[in-house]
Amino acid sequence: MTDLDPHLQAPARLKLVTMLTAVSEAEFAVLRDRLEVSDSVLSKHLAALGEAGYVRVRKGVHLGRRTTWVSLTTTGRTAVGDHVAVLRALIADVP
Amino acid sequence: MESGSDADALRDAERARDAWAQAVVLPRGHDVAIGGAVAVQVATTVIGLTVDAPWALWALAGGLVLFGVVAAIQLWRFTRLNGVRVGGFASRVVFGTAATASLAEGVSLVAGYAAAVRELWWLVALISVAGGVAYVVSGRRWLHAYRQEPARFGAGESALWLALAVGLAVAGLVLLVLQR
Repeated sequence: MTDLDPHLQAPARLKLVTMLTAVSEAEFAVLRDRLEVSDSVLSKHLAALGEAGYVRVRKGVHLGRRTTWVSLTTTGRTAVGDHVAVLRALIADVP
Repeated sequence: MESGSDADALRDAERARDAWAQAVVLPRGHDVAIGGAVAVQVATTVIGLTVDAPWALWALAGGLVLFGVVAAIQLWRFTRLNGVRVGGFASRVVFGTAATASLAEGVSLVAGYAAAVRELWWLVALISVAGGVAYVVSGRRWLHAYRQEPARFGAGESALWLALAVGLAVAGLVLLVLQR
C-alpha cells in the first residue's frame, strides 16, 4: 500500500485541499473564512503546499480590488485522491 | 495519525467541502438571463439561416453576440457572488456542454429551421423558448449534482476544449450561412 502523503497529514491541510477539490479556483479570503483560520495560518499552509507543487497561488482582481486566487494543481489533485484512498484503506482495516 | 483521528479528519474535511458546495448559488435572475439568451440565439440563428435579407444576418450575429455578453456577465456574477470559479458551472451551465443542454439547443435549432422553412414563425418562437427552458433545466440539474458530489461535478471542460467547441460551432454556422 502507498504511504500517506506527509504534506497532507495535518488535518487543517487535508481540509484545505479537500475543499479545493470542489472548485477550479477560490479567493483567498473566502477560503480563510470557510476554514476559520487567520491569514497567516492559511498563508503558511499554502506556502508548504505550493513548495510541494500541490497548489497554485496567483494575484488577481475581484470586485475592483487586488485579491489572491488559490487552486489545486493537477499534481495536487492526484495527490489528494491518492492520500484519501490510503486513508480510507487504513480506516477500513481498523477492526 | 491514528485511524480514529484519520477518520475524524477525513470526515471533517469532506463535510467542509460538501457544506461549501451546498452554499454555492446561482446569481439572481440567472435562469431568465441564460434561458432568454439561448432562446434569442436559437431564434436569430434560424432567421439568419432561412430569411434571405441582409438584416437577417445581422440578427444572427446579434444573437450570438448577445449570448456571449450574457454568458460573460453570468460568469462574472457567479464569481463575485461565491468567491470561487467552478469549471463545471462555466462549461456545463453557461456554455451548455452538458448532454441535455447540447441536445436541447441542437434539437431546437433543427426544429426551428424546419418550422421557419414552412413560415410557421409562431412555432419558431415557441421552439426557441422551449430550447431556452431545457437549457435552464440542464443547468439546474448540474447544480443539484454538483451539490451532491462537488469533487466529481466541479470540474468542467478545459478552456482549450471550450474554445475549440465554440470555434467549430461558429465555423459550422458560417458554412451554413454561405450555403443558403
